[in-house]
Amino acid sequence: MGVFDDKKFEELDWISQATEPIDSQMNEILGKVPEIVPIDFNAYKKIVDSGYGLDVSLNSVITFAIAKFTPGSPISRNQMNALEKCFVLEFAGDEIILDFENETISGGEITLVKLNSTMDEKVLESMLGSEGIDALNYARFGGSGALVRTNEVMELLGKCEDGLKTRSEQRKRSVLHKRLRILFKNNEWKIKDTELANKVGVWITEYITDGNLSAFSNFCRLKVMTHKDQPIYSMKEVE
Amino acid sequence: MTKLLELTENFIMSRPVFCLQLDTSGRNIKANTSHPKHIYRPKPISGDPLSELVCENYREHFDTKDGHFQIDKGEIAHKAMEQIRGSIAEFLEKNLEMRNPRQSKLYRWAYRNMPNGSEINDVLVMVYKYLRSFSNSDMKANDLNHVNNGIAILEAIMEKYEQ
Repeated sequence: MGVFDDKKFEELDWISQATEPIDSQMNEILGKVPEIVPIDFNAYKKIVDSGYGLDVSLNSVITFAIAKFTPGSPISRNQMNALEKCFVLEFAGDEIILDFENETISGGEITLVKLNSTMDEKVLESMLGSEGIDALNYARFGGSGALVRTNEVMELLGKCEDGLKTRSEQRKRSVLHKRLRILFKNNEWKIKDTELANKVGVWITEYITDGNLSAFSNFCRLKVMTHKDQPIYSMKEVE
Repeated sequence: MTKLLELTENFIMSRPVFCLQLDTSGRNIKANTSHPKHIYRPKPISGDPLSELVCENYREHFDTKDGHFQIDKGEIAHKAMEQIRGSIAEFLEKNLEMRNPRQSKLYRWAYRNMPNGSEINDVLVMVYKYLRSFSNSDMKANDLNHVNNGIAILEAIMEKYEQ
């Protein structure tokens, strides 16, 4: 397998290769959570144990369901916001009683109901790269050589003339931020995997702030892969 | 505060049974812990101002980890004691026959400088009980002879603790 090959794309079936759907870990997670998740007393107790008080939000029930059915899948805030649209809480019964004395939920049933089995393509598109871009917001560009490295990144991204001209750290960051937003909004690089897209901003941040060469190498590899003008689902990363 | 603590002795707690409610958006389940299904609120002994005060300060909170309600009897007695101290100052403000009772030495002592300690607190509890025997819950007295007596007692206490 070559350095610039996209193994995941090659393994896709013909219809997926033809339609090029966006791949996301969130679809895997959604697929593993059952259509209906009953919330019994023990589940309710577990959910409230991680928060304050006895009130329960859809967010906390989804977090519980994901931890139960797909353990070890960390969910970011953006992902959770998207997942919340795929679930709803339902009550069956007139008066549902939470009884800590008898450790029961009586008078009806509480369920978490899955509304969609896959994430909407448009939602995934809007999430491409967003977490990587967020990483840029918290990065410090003040270290030695950071501005030079920022220029290198901007040259590879292209369309960053304003950022290349200025010496202001703030301005460079703002240009970089804006460029990445546009790049992912139009999906200029045809990245079809949300996790891979999110890594772009992270690699850029790591290279600019710490001079991390592995991160820069990955970023350059991805850039080279875009020259084929093919959808990108995966790449061989440098550790 | 011994008397106040005694009054909290028989306090129990609400049963940890709640009616759950789902909001219209289907995104939040509410379990109103301040209104459990079988709520317990202590009933004061009729005509006993101390019992009324202690019952008024009854607070229970639900411990999610342990799954039952808890009360802090010391805290209830302490809150009631604070209220007694405030009520004594209020009594003076409302019943001292002066144009501005807040300027009086006795009021300022009661409001700011009244010492805190188990001995004086026990005394103040009894003074409060006496003051309430001729005053309403807003500490407005209805018997002038008793008012003068009450003020004299407070002055004597002030002198003792100022020495």
